[in-house]
Amino acid sequence: MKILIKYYAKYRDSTGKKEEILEVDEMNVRELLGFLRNRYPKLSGDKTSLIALNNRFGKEEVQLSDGDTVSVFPPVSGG
Amino acid sequence: MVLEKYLSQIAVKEIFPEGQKRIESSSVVVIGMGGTGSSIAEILVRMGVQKITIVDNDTIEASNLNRQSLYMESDIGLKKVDVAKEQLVRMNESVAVNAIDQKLNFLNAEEILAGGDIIMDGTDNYSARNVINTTAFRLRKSWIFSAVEGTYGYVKAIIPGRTSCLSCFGYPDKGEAISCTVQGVIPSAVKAISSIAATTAIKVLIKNEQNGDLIYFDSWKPSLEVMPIPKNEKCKVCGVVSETQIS
Repeated sequence: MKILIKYYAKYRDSTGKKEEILEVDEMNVRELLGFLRNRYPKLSGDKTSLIALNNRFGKEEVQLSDGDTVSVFPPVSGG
Repeated sequence: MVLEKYLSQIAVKEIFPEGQKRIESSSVVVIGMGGTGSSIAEILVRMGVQKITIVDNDTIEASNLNRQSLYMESDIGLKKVDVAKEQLVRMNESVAVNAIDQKLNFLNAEEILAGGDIIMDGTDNYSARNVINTTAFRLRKSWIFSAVEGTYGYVKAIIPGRTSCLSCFGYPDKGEAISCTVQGVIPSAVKAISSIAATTAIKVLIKNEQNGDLIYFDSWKPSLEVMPIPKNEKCKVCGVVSETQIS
């Protein structure tokens, strides 16, 4: 299935992309993050990443469907 | 004089007519008086907040001055809360400023946060936000999360019983500050995120705003996105189990 991945903030530098369409096997949101960290090791610099499915943050156990959009954000701590 | 000070904002339909009274009767607690905290405090005091508590135990450094507009070169080495208090009173002589020279932790949080109608996050680390998130939920106090780095940042209203909290979407709960001189931040991003945070606070105070969406803003691109974060019933802070334990 095809998933649109959108990268935000420093993850655009980490991946060299603003977004991309990836062909992946059946998996849930958490498994997709693992997949992305393998593909782009710089994403592993954060212990936690914030992930929205179809523009909504939710459970990472949700199974992905063909045509979904996944947005990946870094945690930000500064102030 | 008092009315004249606020004429321009009272003329805005979102504020007129009752909003200004609510602003002036509100008590605000700002945790952290760095980039976001000092900017948020300035906006709220200039808008007429009459009672504000500011909390920080840092001293002013030269590297603060590009974005922390309450402080001047002659203030380097002085306590942030002392200088901030003086500046805030100069901006608005009717404000009462309670300056607390402490670092927020689980031992002092309940007493400090209890006095606010709303709590503003001006911190720079995950651990302090975890203290605010946990304690504010226990006290049933609304708070506004804000964080900034590089050219971008986040803002989210957290309203106990109404919205998701910081733990609901996996925001880290441990970790000390990484200096802004190390991770980098541009002053315009700090000001933009602070402005969004202050506006969000005003909406909670005067309009009973109950929207807890995460606002992401990048001042460089520029872009703004708003994403819903549903409550997580398994959240260790505000989930069903936590609610049961508290009530």
